[in-house]
Amino acid sequence: MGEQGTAPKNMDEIDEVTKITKAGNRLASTKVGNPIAGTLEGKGTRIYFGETEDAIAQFDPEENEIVISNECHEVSPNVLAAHLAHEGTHVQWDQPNSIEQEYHAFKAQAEVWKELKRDEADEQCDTVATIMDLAEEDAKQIIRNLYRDLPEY
Amino acid sequence: MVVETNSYALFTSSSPKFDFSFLYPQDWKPREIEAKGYAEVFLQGPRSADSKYGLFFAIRVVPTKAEGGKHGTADQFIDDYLNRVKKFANFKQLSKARGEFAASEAVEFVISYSMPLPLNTLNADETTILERRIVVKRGSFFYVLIYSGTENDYHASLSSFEYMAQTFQFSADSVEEARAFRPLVTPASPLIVREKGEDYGPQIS
Repeated sequence: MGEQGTAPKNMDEIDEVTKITKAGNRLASTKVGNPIAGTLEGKGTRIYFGETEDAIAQFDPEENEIVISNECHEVSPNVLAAHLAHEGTHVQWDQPNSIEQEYHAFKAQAEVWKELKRDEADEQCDTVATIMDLAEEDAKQIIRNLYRDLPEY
Repeated sequence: MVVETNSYALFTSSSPKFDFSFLYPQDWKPREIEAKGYAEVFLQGPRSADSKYGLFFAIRVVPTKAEGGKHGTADQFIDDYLNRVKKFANFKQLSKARGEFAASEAVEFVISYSMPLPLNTLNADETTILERRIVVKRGSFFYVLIYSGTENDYHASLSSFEYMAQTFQFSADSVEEARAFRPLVTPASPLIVREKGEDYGPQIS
């Protein structure tokens, strides 16, 4: 899995494709991430580095693309794989966002991260893992307060 | 404490799972959630302009072991939660007290922890969250009152939480019964009623 749609034109683009491919392979190597990687491949979701609205990664359902922030070039493939698990879950659900969907996206992110991280630390992914170690009702309460306008389902 | 009661609305529900009532600020919109293993009324409070989290008040109903749940006692229920939540950065248990709430035995505790907010963003700020819980075991259910928010928002709306808690009553109880037992909630955090001194342990970090 790598950037799809256009062939890389220069060394920078080749480097980006390599990083995304590596993260995608890490994602596919995990129990929870494997079907997500399969969905991204099957749906032809384009994944590339670009501008985001402060997000580390975001999924645009209309364009069927996941944008990883340009500021994340130096982020480890394990961290990128965890974020791809989160965004890839939104691709899998293929319906308007909800608390339930965000919960599953965070859960996938946490599980992929825990499977890959070993001794690695990442403040965001570690926090997400801690939230998802709470009981489901407590994790959802935090998500509900963060995404104030989302419906339950 | 002066409360303008005309700015509060009465929460009641047609669902038998929410067998209680309380007054809440009119601009806090209640949401009833009935899920596998629990039911909850969730009310989102206001948040300050620069807040990335805001605050909420919730009342959760969870079955005890006798009703198919995981825990038999309030202490087990609380320990399970604290063992999970203490993994957050800068976790502290600020207080714990036992007493009576709405004519039932109750445990109240306050914790704080921090997390980078908003989640999964490039410019997240490490944000301190304060949380207050009152756990009541009544019949074969736990009733958990939860008040949680960023430090600033928490203190800004604390009197609203106290009013919601003080007006809480189970539907089966008469007004006289509800009035006979004043809530555990005390006027100002962290000056919590201390009925059994041994409940104040050292801070956990």
